[in-house]
Amino acid sequence: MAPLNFCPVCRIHHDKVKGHKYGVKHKKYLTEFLSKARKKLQDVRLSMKEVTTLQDEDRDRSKFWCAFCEQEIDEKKSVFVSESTIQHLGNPQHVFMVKKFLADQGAHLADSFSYFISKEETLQWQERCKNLTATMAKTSVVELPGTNNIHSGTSLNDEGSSLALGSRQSFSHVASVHDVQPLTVLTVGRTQNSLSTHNEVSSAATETGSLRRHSVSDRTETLVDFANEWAGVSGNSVHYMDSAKFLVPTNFGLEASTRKPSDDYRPTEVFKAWRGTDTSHYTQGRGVNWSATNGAFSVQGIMQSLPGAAPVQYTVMASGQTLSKIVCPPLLSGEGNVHSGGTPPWIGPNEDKKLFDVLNDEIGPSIEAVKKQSLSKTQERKLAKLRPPNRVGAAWAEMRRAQLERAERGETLDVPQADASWLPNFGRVWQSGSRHDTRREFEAEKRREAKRLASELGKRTVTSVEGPVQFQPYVSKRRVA
Amino acid sequence: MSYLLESLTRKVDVDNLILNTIDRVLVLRFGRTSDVVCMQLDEIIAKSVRDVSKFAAIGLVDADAPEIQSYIKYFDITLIPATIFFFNAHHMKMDSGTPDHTKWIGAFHSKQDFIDVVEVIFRGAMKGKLIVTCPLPKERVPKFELLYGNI
Repeated sequence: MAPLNFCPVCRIHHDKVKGHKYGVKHKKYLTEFLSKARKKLQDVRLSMKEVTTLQDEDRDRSKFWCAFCEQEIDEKKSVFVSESTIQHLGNPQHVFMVKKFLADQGAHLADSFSYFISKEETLQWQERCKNLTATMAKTSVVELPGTNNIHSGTSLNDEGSSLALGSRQSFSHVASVHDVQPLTVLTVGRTQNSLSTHNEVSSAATETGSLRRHSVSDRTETLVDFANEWAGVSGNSVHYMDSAKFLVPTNFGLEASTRKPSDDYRPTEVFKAWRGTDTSHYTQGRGVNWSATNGAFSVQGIMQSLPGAAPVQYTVMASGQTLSKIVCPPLLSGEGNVHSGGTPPWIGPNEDKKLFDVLNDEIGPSIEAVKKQSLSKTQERKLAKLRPPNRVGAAWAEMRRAQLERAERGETLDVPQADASWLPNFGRVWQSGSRHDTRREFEAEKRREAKRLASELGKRTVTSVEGPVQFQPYVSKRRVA
Repeated sequence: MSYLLESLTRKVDVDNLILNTIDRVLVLRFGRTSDVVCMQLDEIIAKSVRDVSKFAAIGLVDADAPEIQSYIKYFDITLIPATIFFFNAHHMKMDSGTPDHTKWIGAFHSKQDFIDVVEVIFRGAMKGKLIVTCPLPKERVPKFELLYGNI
């Protein structure tokens, strides 16, 4: 009795030693097997290209079954995603097993490179890992005390955190002192400078308070002066609506003097003026308020465009170190801009409806148009009878029909007409050969006639073209004499 | 009578008629309205216009008009009335036992003869034939003789 061998590709036992690998089924299963292996390796190569650290949640789930070595590789000790897998796939032992497998199963050894990772790739990946660790070491996240955010490293498993599973905390407890508070202070336009400059500013802020009651026209000049003073910038143009009313945020000016020195705010170069009717934060008043700090300031005007209109935000002033300024046209009351979601300028007055009126209009052709295009079977059969494709002049007829239809629909301005010298297809009386020759012969004859006439006129002599013309009666070949 | 169809005198009109008749036989009669045989043919044509309207269109061309002379030359018309048949701007020939297969010279005996001829041409064209055999017996085909010279 022949010993039975197990084929891992077909997953069957057979009694053939080497002949099994040449079988049709085996080859089919082998291609499937290898394509799966190739796909797995492509995924691993992707994770090699974009190196990321392995999260704890994924640690238990990430396992790799190497079909060539017939062993499972787990990532329990790896720092980066698929670290152990990559190390195994680059192992010379694995390379040997791959080649042995391919040779045993009758596959091409030339394709073996797609089932293991080469040394160069491993080196590149190791470099990427080093870079990643270096960048991670540099960027250390400053954690504010008592914050419960994603950077603080709290996870589901920490017992103390509110995110921990099983921790019974009500919402009131969650909203504790240590949790993140909503912003009460404006962060636009603040800089990270020392307290001394802040003190100067706080005194300036009280000064601005006195300007609140001024009218708009006066405001513009004072605003520009303040802008120049505080930002050290000249030649700014600030645009305001003459008829606009300003709503003043009372909090901001006062808070400039009361804010904590430990607060860190990143400087911003664009200052925005708000138009809105958010009365919960602002009090009615005329004028622009400042929260001017440390040379960079935010100019905030809140303008009410129309009663009930959405607040429209637009840039009042902007400055940059190496950037040049341009004059932005003022926004009219009815218009919107990119912040408020107005109509873009490239969409015309009528197009707007077409593009955005999705609810009312159907997208695509109407039912009639579709029916016109698609013919029923009976109609198709009728047409096939009416217009057989092998009829005389079929191609010309289709072309002409299309031209006329287009002209009817109005796509083209006029139907292509024949010019003065056009002549139809005609088979001549005493002609032998193709009909296309008819026109050519006719044109040639015309030209000859014209030449003859011209030469005759010039010479004024009547020349006989040929000798005496021989006339013969026509006798049909079909008639029996 | 032929008051239903007007005689065309301009080449443009004839061209348009040829180009705009799609999937129908175009019957072009070259003749003179004052000629007797032409008048006879015109009457038969006028009576059958409606009957053949589904598969044929008819046009009368004045052979004396100056612009039409190029057509007269092109079609080699020497006897009138001469009727030429087109289908999708292609010239249709008919073998009726006469020396000239390219046109029908003379009038028809009856309205039915004309309709039969047009029908045969239409059927042949639908099959893709450029030359058809005349269904009429020889007695009802007008006879004429042609003399040709070698060019």
